Amino acid sequence: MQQLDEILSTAMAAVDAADSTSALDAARVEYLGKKGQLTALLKQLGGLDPAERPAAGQAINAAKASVSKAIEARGATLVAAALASRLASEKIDVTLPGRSRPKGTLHPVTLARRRIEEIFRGAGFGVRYGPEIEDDFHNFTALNIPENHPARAMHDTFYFGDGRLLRTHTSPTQIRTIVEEGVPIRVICPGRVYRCDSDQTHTPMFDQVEGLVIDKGISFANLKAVLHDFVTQFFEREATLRFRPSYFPFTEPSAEVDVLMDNGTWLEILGCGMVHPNVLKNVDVDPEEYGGYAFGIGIERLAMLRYGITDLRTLFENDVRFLGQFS
Amino acid sequence: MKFSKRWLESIVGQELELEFLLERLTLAGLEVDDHELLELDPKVVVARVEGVEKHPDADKLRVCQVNDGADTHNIVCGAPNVRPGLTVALAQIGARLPGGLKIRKSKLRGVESAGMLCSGRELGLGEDHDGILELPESWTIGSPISEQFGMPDAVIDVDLTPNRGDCFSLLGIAREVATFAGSELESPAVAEPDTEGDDIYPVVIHAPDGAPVFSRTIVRGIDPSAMTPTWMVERLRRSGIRSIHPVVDITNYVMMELGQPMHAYDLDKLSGAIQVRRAEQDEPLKLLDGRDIKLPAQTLVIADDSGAIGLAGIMGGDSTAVTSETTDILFEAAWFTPATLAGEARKFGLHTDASMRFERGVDPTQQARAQHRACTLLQEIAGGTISRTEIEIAEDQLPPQRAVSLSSSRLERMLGVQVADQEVEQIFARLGFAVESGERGWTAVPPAFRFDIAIEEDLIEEVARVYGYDRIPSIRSTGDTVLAKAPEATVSEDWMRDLLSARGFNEIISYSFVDPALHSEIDLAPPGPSLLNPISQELSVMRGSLLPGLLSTADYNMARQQPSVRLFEVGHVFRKATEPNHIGVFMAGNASPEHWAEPAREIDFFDLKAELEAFLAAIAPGHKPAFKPLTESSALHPGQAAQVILGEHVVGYIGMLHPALAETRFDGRTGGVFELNIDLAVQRTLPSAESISKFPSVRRDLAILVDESVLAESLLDTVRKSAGRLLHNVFVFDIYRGKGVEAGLKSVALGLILLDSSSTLTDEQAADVVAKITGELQAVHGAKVRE
Repeated sequence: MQQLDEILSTAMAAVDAADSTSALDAARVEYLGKKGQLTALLKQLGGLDPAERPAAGQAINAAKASVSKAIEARGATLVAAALASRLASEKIDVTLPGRSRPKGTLHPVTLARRRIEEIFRGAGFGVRYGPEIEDDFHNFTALNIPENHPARAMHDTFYFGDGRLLRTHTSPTQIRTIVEEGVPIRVICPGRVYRCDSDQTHTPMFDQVEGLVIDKGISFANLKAVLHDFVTQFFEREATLRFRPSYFPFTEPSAEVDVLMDNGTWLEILGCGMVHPNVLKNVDVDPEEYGGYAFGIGIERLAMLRYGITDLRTLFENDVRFLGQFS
Repeated sequence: MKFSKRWLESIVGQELELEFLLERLTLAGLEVDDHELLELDPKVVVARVEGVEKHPDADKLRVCQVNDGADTHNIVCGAPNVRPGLTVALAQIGARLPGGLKIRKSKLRGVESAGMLCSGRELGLGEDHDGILELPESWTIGSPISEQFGMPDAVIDVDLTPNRGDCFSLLGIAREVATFAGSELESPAVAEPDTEGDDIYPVVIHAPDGAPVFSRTIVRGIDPSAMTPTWMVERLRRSGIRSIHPVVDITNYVMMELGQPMHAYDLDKLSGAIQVRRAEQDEPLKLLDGRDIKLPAQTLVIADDSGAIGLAGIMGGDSTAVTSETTDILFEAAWFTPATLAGEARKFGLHTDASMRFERGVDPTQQARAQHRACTLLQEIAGGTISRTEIEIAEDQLPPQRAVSLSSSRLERMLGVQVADQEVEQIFARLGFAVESGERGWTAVPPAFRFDIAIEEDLIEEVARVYGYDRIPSIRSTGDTVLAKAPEATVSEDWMRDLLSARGFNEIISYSFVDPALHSEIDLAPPGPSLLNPISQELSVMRGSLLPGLLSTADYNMARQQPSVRLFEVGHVFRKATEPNHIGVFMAGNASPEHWAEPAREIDFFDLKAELEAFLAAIAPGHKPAFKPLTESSALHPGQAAQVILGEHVVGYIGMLHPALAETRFDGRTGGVFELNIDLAVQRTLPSAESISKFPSVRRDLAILVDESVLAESLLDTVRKSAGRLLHNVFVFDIYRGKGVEAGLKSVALGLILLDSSSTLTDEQAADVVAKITGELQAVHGAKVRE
């Protein structure tokens, strides 16, 4: 079977020489295919002496098996080489940046307001909003600030031609809420307020949260507790507060509240007091039966303290290099 | 109110440690706004100029021989008023002046100078810098000038609340300090001066309801050349009051000391009896500040035969003012009721020391005392003879002495702490209240200087204030809290904020009032009402749209080297009677951050619309927005703008800036904006789950030719209406114009996703649906199918 040996060695050489899967496939067809050379040898077996047939058949099959095995091995090598070459060609610099989306931010006043809302919601306070253009009754008269009261001068009010005004505090929303929902009540009213004043430490528009609790048996001691808890939660550290006597027409007794800073100084952060009986009467609540407290917090001041903002005016310049820091 | 600490100490009768004083004031409710220490280096001494020579090398400088008690020094001085014999303030070598300047031995143009002669400003004694300070001859040469000027001292500025008119004086502050120090205040005694004769000026009170108390005193023959003494000038200066004339200074001094505003007339300029009456309509009056005003009827005035000569309790008139020639004086000290003066000064654009005090309430029992104090001071300073003080009092117009009752149980309930009865009584006694205890509490009569005590709460506040807010405990309130409503279908503003910030937008907060000129160029919504008293013209009209603020902010940032801006704002806009809540989004510049693998590209309408669609899909799922071209706005590009319609409402607009507006207001850049009324879009449909089909969907693509004017949205609508229940989704996946498509037409490629929830679709079923759609597109839009 000299012919077999020759075919086998050329087949093996062809397999070895195949440098692609298609060349390898061609070699497989050439030797093992239906019309392949080794297949042809098998077909010739019938022409042999029956005594030689088994041995010759075995030899041919053995040759087929080794060619087949070689093809398989060569195939595996080619696949591995192709993969290696693909991987090499697809290599990238993984330190290059991805296709980025622009980064969005919330305004620091929003961040502080949401924090305040979250803390008070947790204590069972509802959150109410109201109009920014108000009438004299809701902004002043109902809050025990009759016409010509000197306290009106404290408010630097913006007026419109028809006598309406831009609310100077969010207290009018409290009045509206009591009228709509009655007592007992436990709400905070965040919102935008306006004062006709503009300098380094005042902007003509700013944000406040006012709180109101009216129920039976509410005391100044309760007010002190709720504000202490609030300031402690807001800044996430035990707060030391100082309550100073002050004056607001809609509360009595009234206080301004200072917080003790790290440098040992006091910083005013809010005003508060027990709801004035005239305010309760103005909304048909009997001051003999019900009492309560109210407080007003400037959101900008808290945002500045919380986030290290030193100039109030940057809050309304809306420079994206500033805003971009509040992600 | 500003005042000198040493002046206060002279009334309290003891020295007060500064920190202690500031704390007492604060705890009394007199907020200390600021305080300033006044000191002068002892090396600034009284000296006398003995000789003055011209400087050899400088025209404006003089070389002076100055005696400081120990030695005579050469001092170079440029002041025009330096002259031999003048008593001056000499800053010696080594002295440090209030401005920080340290005096060194120096040469001025070659001449040695051993110190400096000082102006008032250089010593921190006012603004005078016209020349060097001229001191009284009587002062001892060589002595430090600081003691002569009442230093060291501190100026304390307290912010008085409107209820505490009684604290608008050194006396009032002293009372509070004493109360909080637990000591009794000896109110400074004012002796009645020696008077001569019964020289009483006639007065007729026509309006006793406005002026229940009116007193006057004549002082004749004062020395018109008299000067206000330094100590008084300094005390007034520390209260922010400029020295004008000894008589005027004295009225101011008494007002500051006792809280009683006074007025001085030049007696010779008065004609006929003084009348206190209501003005006639348009009665003329020339005020002390030189302004001519016309009075509204009913204004309370002081008048004589010549007409009105003063606005009662606010400001005197020009015609009877004291001048440097005046020798005979009439002092007025009156009590005008707070009700009469409430809001009056403001009508004339005034806010005077007098009006501020009368509006809040002046002690109605102190007019004679003020007269005595003023006359005594005047005589000390300028001589003269004092006549008897005459006083008119309308008893029935005086404020009643009202007893207010306080129940001990209410006191405890309100404060949350029990204050011992004895302490309550002590507190009232210290405050000068007459207090009587009863079975359930007390009745208290406030002193005449308190105008803020009318109801029980006023008394509770006084007790709390003096007891000390710091002694009231913190007690958490107990009781039921009602669980809050949680309406899930309501979309909160804050969630909208989160959506937009997560999509890469910066939240801004801009002023609600904007420039009317800018707003008028934005015709998407009319501006809201205009302010009567804006901060400036640029902030004078309420916004009717968020676009003015967004556009200005975008321009501000793009002008500061930003490659792009993506801004949003949530806030009210203002209509005639309503103020809907809007959300506005503005984009300009690069469509995405510059990237090495992506070509840079400016944003266009569809970047903007993608954001709007994503936003609406989140806040209003189940509501398909519709878009209607908006071609007639001067703010938006007529070919790239649309109204946004949700259900039945036009909820807003979307569009690229009109190039003309961009040219004037945005430096010609491209920008896009959408704005929605979120009050109309805050209710979403809650999810309601459906089972998903187990069968595969089938896609069929359909390319049609239609006229350019046919809107994509209308094609999609037709498809949706004609397809029947098997159409799951339809979308535009290509638009083609050019080769193979006739001019004026466009080729629109539609992707149709068909799906049956109960079986696998057959080719025939799909073909049926496509045929139905094709027929309808042909019928409605004249569409031709492209093969």
